[in-house]
Formats: sequence, C-alpha cells, structure tokens
Amino acid sequence: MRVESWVMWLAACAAIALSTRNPLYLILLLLVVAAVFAKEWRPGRMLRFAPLVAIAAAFNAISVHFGDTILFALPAAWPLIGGIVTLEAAAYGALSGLVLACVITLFGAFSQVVEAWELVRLMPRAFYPMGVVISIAMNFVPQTVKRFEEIRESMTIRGIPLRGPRDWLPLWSPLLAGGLENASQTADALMARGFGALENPSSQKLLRDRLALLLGFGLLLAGWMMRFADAGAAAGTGLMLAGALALAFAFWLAGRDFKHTRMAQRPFSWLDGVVIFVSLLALMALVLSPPVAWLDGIRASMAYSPYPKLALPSFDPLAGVLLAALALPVMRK
Amino acid sequence: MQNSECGMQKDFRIQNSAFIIQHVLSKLIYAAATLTGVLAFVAPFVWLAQQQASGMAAAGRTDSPLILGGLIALCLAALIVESQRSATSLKQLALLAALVAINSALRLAETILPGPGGFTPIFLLIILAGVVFGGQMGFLMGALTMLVSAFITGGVGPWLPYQMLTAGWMGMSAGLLSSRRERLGTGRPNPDWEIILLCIFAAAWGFVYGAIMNLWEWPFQMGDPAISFQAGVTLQQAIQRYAAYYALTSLWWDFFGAAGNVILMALFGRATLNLLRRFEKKLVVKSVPDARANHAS
Repeated sequence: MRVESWVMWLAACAAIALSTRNPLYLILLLLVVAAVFAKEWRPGRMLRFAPLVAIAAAFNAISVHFGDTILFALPAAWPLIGGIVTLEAAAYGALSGLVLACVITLFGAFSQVVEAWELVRLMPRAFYPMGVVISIAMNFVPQTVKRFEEIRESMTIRGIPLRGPRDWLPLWSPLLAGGLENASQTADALMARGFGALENPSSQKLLRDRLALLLGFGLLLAGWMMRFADAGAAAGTGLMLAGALALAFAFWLAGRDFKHTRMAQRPFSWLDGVVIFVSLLALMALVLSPPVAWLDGIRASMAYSPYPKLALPSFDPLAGVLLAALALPVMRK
Repeated sequence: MQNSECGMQKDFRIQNSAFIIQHVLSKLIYAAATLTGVLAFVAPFVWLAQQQASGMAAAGRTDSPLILGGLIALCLAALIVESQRSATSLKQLALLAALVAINSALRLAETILPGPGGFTPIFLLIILAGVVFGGQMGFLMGALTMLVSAFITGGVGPWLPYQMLTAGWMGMSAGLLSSRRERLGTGRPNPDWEIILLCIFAAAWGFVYGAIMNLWEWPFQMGDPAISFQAGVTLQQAIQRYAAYYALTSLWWDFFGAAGNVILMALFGRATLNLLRRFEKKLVVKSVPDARANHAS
C-alpha cells in the first residue's frame, strides 16, 4: 500500500479515537488496529496499556467528585482529592486511558509499517530545504551514536571514566565539534556533486509569497474572531476556510522555487483507492457528522458520557460497519 | 561623476527600502503565525465558556480539537516556510541537520535511560542554537528536533505538531537574547552574566514548555471543579483552575525539567556557546542587501 493511503487511514482512525468516549467503538477500533498490524506488531503488546487505563481511572476517580454511584469517600479536608469517589468518574478516567492507548497503539504500529523516508518524501515542495535537513539528520543520528561510543572508549583508554555530570564535558565538546565538522564536509560533498543548490528567490517573488501568507493569516484570524464574537458563525467559518486556502496557495507558490523529482514509487493499487475512500467516508460520518437525519444515531452514540449515572453505551450499526471497514488494509500483500 | 553618485544613492535607497519592506513583512508573518498559534492554545479558555453558557458544550467537544489542531499545523507550516528562508546555503542546512541529529540522539538516549521527572537534555541545544544563529534557526532547531526524534523514537502522534510549535517558540525566543546583545552593541557580553541569564531563561522554559503542552488537552478533560473548566467561568477563574491543575499534575514533573536545564546550561553552556560561535563564523553566511554591502565597501 502507498504511504498516502496509510496516512489517510491513520488520520481517520486517530480522529475517530480522539472524538469519542464510546467504549464499544474504541474497543472495535483497537481490534481493527490489532488485525491490520497483526504481522508487524504482536497484538499482545496492547496489554502493556492496561496499567495506563488503570492509572487514568484511579487518577480521575480521586480527582473528580462527580457522579451518582458513590463507591466511597475520602476525607473532605484533603486538598483536591478529598470527597466522594464515584464509579462514573473511574469509568470516565478509564475511557480517557483507553483513548490514549488507542492513539499510542495506532501511531506505534504505523511507524512499524511506514519508513521515515517515505514520510519525508511526502513533504510538499515548499518544505524542500527542511526535507534536506531531515534526510541529512536521519543519516547523522546513527553516526552520532557511533561517534559517542568511539569518544567514550578513547576516554576510558586514557583513564577518564564517566562518573559525575562534569565528566561528560570532555565527551560533549568533541561530539558536538565532530558533528559540526561532519556537517561541513557533507555540505561540501553535496555541493561538489551539484546537489541542493539553493537559489535565492527574487525580491518580487518573496514579496508575493509573503503577501499571500499574510493574506491567509488575515482571513483566518478575521474569521476566527467572528466565530469568537458570535458575529456569524457561518461567515466566520467561510473566512477561515478562505484563509486556509490562501495559506495553501502561499505554500504552493513558495514550493514553485524548488524542483522536485519522484523516483521508484509504489504503483497505486485498487486497495489504495478503496482504503482512501473508506477512510474519508468514516471521517465524514463519524467525526465531522454533517447534520443529516440518517447520521443522528452515529452522532448520539459518539457523544457517549458516563456522567451523571453510568449507562450502557449505544451502538449504531452503520458506525460499526464503517469502523470494521477500516480493517481493509489487512488485504495488503 | 555626480550623476553616477546620485544614481548609486538612489539605487541604495530603493534596495534599502525594499529590504526594509521585506523585513517588516517577515516580522508580520512571524507575529501573525505566532498570534494564531497562541490563540489556538488559549482559545478553549474563551469558547468553552461561550459554548457552555449557551448549552452547546457537547457539540463543541467533538470538532474543536480538530479545528485547533489544523490551525496549529498551519501556523507551524507558515513559520517553517518563513524561517527556512534564513538558511541560504547548503552549509547552513547541513549545520542545522547536524545539530538536530545530535539532539535527536540525546532524546533517543533519554528514551532508553529516562531521567528524573521531566528532565530532558534536548532543550540546551535548542536554546543555544537560537542564541547563536538567531530566532529563525532556533525555531527550526526546536521544531525539527521534535520531528526527527519522534521518527526515531516512535513518538509520532497528534501531540507532535504542538511539541514542534512549542519547542520552536523556545528556540525563536532564545533568538531575542542574541538580538538584544547585538542591539546593545557589546558583541562580547560578560560570559558569566550571559550564562546566568541563559540559566534563568532555560529554567523558565522548563516550566513554560510543560504549561503550554498541558494547555491543548486540559479544556477537554472533565475533572474536579477546582482543577477543570466549568460552565460560565470567567477568564480569571479559568486561569486559576488551570494553575491548580498544573500545580497538581505537572509542577513537580516540570521542576526536574527546569532544574536539569539549569544544570546542563551551567555545566555545558559556555563550552557549547564557544563551539557554536566558532562554527557560525565558518559555516554561516550572513545575508545583507547588495546596496548595503556596496555602501560599506
């Protein structure tokens, strides 16, 4: 599967996880993630998050004194934690922990299937210099670790062991100096090969790019202020969208200064198309939920809260189908 | 002869005014993006009060984090696009990459051998890069350190844009210390005072970083009324509740971060500054408008 499809799928799953406290949907989402990454990421690793859920439940239970089902009470004189401890507060904390576990699992597993360089290659042209920096930095990290080992060994041979923080200074300075020397040599080597020549854009181009950025921020802030001031939410949203588009246009303009070539790309398969379509559909229906009647059930079930009295969460079959459809990446080779 | 001198002076004035306009526009972009970013962090203080007062809290809770996340991403992107204009040569990019790599390796080490509480060694280089190379490079140093180290340590998540922006602000604000020094015209400050100032700055950022990072999630957490956002509260009450929440959950954690920053700055600050300044002369080409250069010569 192409990295673009993975990113779309990840965005949909993460947005859903962050938008609901319905445990049925969260557990279904966790099962989907476990199924999708069964090959790369042992689903048993998810059990590591059990303490996280327990801690979140305990913390919320002792710090939130709200809910109908009282379990016990702590002395009221104790600051912040004193008061009643309720089942609802514990349930809400556990659900927050479950959301966090869901998000961490998602991103942890995602980083196992998508290489960092694939993500760097997705960067728009406007960020080309930063793409160069990230690519060089990713290559420098293992070299830095190796250089650290070499310096430490040579210090040990000279009889300078690393004990207190002061002993780290003789290690830190050569590590930093070596890294910067390496940077200088790498830049020379790249320039000698004619790579990465940065052209300074003309004054007119710079002026145009900067004015487009400022226009974008102007519209964005104006729209936002209108929403804040309650002076026309629709018009404010429209202005914010126009501002976001103006910023996207400014990034596109800035990107035209850099030439970009793409090599050895994975072909776009039918599975990519289906995964992107399903992700967008799930995102629209579950997270954005436009105000249409047939999405009422989804909206109601997504907005589950255990307060004031714990009740069983509702489950919308359409939401269940959409969540299950997010398991489609299991069909990849 | 006089005509040619007049022409040169006119050219210089035109180029100088173009340079000033570009400079002002650049500063305006930084201001607008930073203002939008700050508003995105503090917006929940305002709109939750409004929404809860009008009984729309439940609806707001589902879409607003996404809108705020999108705004943060836009601010970050704009600041990166504007900041990267300061890197005018491949040598500067390689220098930035080396510093980011060293910092990422430090974060990797910290992940394997975690320090006490919120202690992290990565803020030292972010601050010092901002001081030596200026706010723009400081911003890039902070943002890219978070990005590259997240790739390496598997720390990619929805919190990443917030971390990148906050660490970027740290580096950018460190640039103010260097520009202050330049404005004073000293060039060579008292080394001891410089380190003391940097220690105070690093300690402050140890707490500020934690306080900002808590802000993005706090309004969406339900909790005790004394530490969480409630319907109809005023801005002052919201700040008081947030302060109580921060004191209960994060203050001791960030204390280790701030103390660690001070210790690292006191022990390694001077040597690192000297090294970075040496390489600044070697690797960084400072851009000046042509006319200014001509005028100077």
